[in-house]
Amino acid sequence: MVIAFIRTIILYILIIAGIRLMGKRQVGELEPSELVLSLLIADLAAVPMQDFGIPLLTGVIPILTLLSMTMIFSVLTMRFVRFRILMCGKPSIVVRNGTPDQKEMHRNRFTVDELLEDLRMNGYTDLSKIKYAILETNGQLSVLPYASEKPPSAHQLSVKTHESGLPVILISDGRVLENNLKTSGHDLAWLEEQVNQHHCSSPAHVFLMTVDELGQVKLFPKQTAKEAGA
Amino acid sequence: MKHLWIAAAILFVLLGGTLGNSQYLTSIIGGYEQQLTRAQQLASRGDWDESERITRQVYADWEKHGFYFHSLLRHVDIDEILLTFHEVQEYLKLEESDQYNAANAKLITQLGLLAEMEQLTLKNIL
Repeated sequence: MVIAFIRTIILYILIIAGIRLMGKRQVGELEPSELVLSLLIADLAAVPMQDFGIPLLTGVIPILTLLSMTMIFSVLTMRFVRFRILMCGKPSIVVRNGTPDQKEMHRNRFTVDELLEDLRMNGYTDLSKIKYAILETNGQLSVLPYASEKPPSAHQLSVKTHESGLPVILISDGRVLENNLKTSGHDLAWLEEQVNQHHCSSPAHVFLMTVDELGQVKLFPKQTAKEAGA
Repeated sequence: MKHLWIAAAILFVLLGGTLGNSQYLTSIIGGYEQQLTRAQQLASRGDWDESERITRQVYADWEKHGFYFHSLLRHVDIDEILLTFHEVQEYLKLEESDQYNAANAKLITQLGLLAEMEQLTLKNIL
């Protein structure tokens, strides 16, 4: 068992180092330690699950070791900047003032095709419109266009807008969500009145009903079988 | 920081527990090896009854620790040792010197390997 414990620690650190060396593009949306944990834990659990000749503890001890190591690494990552850089790396600026930084792209093994693909996914086709494109530590590309290329906000256009706030679901598939109704400051009598105003006989005939902070009600009646078929 | 200490404590308990298990297993197996070697010496002197009594005693103790062995060691290794125990006991009953010596040596080696497998050594880690 002690061998399993030590081997788990060695392999965990080795795989994290491997993932870090593979570069940001391989990481996806997880941090290296989280990715390694998700890669290993399923496999560790599967072995004693399928092979009855292996004691359960053979799986349990490495899993507990991995969870503890991940917890320690995540706390150290939060507290120490240098450790965070070592574990997760630093964001890289791959486009600066409309020009790709080839050295940085090469260092991150980030190809031109990948760069253009990520820019298109962010809604940009022209590199010259981009002030900065930053390859984040989780492998995602953040694109910051020139100020002149940014869409104007309502504030910049001096347009008056109203904050409707977060809509609260009151009826979901015919069921009244009483907690949400209470939170929104309404009661059942109000609800039934709203339902009747929208030409529904009861909440059971409502597919979705929401109310926002301004009191605006949106109601979608349930479709009949005939309507759903059409 | 609380999470860090909890995780560190779990790792410490696991390390302590597994090292303790390694020591415990070595001491149990070491005792078996000594007794089985003594039984073999007695058999070579012709004291088959005493040899059989000691072997049976070792087997009873092995059976007593059955749950412990099954929860911590690979079942295939435990089953092989169990078979060799039966083999040794049969040769003792028949007072077959050559076969008994061979089977007993095999049993001692199997037990030694079982303990060795749990030792914290570079050879085992690699």
